[in-house]
Amino acid sequence: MHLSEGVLPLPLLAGCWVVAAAGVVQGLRRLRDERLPLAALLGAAFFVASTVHVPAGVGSVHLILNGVCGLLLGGAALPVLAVALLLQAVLFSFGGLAVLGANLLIMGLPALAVHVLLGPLVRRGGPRAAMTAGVLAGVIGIGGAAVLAAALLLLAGGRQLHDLAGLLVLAHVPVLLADAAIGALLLPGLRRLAPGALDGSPDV
Amino acid sequence: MSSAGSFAWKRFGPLLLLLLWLGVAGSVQAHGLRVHAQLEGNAVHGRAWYSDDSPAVGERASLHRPEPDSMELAVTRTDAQGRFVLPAPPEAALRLVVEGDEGHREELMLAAPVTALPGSPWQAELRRELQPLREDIARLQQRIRIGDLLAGVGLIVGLAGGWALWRSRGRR
Repeated sequence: MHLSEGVLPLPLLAGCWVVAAAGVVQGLRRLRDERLPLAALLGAAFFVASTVHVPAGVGSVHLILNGVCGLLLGGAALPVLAVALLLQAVLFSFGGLAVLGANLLIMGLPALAVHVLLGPLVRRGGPRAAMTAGVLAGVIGIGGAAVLAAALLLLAGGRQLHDLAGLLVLAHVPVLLADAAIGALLLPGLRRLAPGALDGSPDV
Repeated sequence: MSSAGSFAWKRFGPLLLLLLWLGVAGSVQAHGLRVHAQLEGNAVHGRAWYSDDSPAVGERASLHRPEPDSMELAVTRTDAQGRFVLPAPPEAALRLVVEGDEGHREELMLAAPVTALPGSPWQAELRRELQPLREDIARLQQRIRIGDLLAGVGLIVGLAGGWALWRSRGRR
């Protein structure tokens, strides 16, 4: 899902950087002090999740968790994802610095969509609603990221990218299901153990 | 607690099994594309793989002149083990580009070996013997290390701590 350096043209990279930077600044304003531990925890989880590959047959499955981050953090998810993506770029050369803005938008915009669309469901609903929201967080988070990455590749044009775009969406179905399954197990548990984390109240 | 656990399993057991099956059926590309290559005589031999150690199969590998010109000299696709061979013209420096699925891309600059003696067969033999060893070293160098993972987690926790400290200054 991380786009590499040298794939997108300069104007697209710059545009993504500007939008992403504005999002990070806005997100930092929204990061309330009492949510800080949760934000750090989710940032660390996101940072680690995509590096841990569980071998399954010939391939391997991993998590991304951007949907869950968005659901629990709202706008504050953007700076959290930015830090995690920066560290992934520096330590593991996933993506890169020039393409960081684009990768942040790819991960962050679906996270915001999850917050807007599923937030009300989680706040008002019971355990079943929490489980549904967990599944949908995975579907929207990963599905949205794959569609955005494909859209950026299409905008970039160039050789074979048109074929790759469709492949990108298909290739992420297992990751999407992994995130959806973890979300389905995680959110009902969170609802029982730390209800404050879901309804946005200060007592997380 | 246990009833909730079995409830979750009853509901999502099939989903998890489906997930495992999908993992077997189709491989997911990991986040980073890695490339190792070297000039051997008049060809570039190399291997491309993803950061989860799976070979990068059927990707486009191309050889270019260095930056200002960057004319494409040769192109091929990686085989089932992620290996590729490209014919190399006798130039001082070459740029190798491997483009993978989903916007992955990796570049390498290749310099001609200083001690290239094209006529000696034992040297070619030695290079072939050393090739797997070089690939192993490149693979191990670029593998995700648990230390880096912990360093990243520690940095995130530290950043949060620093931010909390800075925010708490005004209140005292």
